[in-house]
Amino acid sequence: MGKKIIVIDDSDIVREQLGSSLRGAGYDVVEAADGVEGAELIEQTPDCALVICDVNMPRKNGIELLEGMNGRLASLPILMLTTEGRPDLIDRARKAGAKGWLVKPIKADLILGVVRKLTA
Amino acid sequence: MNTVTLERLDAIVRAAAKSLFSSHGLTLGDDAHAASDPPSDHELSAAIGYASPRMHGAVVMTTRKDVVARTWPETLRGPGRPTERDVCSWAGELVNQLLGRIKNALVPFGLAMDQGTPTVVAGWHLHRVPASTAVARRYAFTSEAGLIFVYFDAALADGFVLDEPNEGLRSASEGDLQLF
Repeated sequence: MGKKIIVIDDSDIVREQLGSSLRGAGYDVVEAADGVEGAELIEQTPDCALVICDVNMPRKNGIELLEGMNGRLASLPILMLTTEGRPDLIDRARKAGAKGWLVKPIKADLILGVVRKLTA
Repeated sequence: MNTVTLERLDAIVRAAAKSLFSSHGLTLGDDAHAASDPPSDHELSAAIGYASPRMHGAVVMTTRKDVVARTWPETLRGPGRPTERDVCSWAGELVNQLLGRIKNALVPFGLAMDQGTPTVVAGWHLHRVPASTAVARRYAFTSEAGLIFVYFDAALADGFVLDEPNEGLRSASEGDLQLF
């Protein structure tokens, strides 16, 4: 079984796009549709190798998710994947422990390259 | 709103729509005639709200389902895909990405905007009722698949203008990757 990746995004199409690319490359993918579900899934998945997380989502956004984990994610790489490009949000994510920020749209080759790097 | 501000806003929305659809395989052109004549065959509408201290409102897109289907991700195509539900979900993601591009282009003007989540409506003869906000712009685009209309509504703080952009405030662009 491949390394486990959590995908958190409120768009079912984006989750399917990411899931298709990642599963095709041998990864095991689990999904959450908002920040609340995502935080629960992270807690329930200790063998997770990477989290790919959207920013703008219902109930709890991706930045709030990161900041709410209070550093418990230090050993877990998180890649933010979003339409947002605001420097203040990128800085907040970096300070809260994110390992990368990628602005949509999704390009499978680029995503897989980053995933390999962050899970190496 | 002064003329320069309106021209800058128009240029930002038009560029955002064209670059968005181009990234999904559809080339858009401006349709000056259609801008005053809403089409009667639009059956899909996707809308998303935004807010900042100086400007808030919504972005709305209307078109036909087959136009949206043309931009459906290649990696997800297959027998029976996209379904009608796929097309509706994808329309929501498109308007989300459209607003993202508009927001990022407004960052150099000092605007940091929060956003809602997209809402999609399917029906017949959909057209947007004229908004009462200070700014209610409509943009019509041609494509090889059909017409796409984009509406940009904004309520503005007193004295709102888009001054010269501050390039020091540049946002990350679509496709940009930063590793920390």
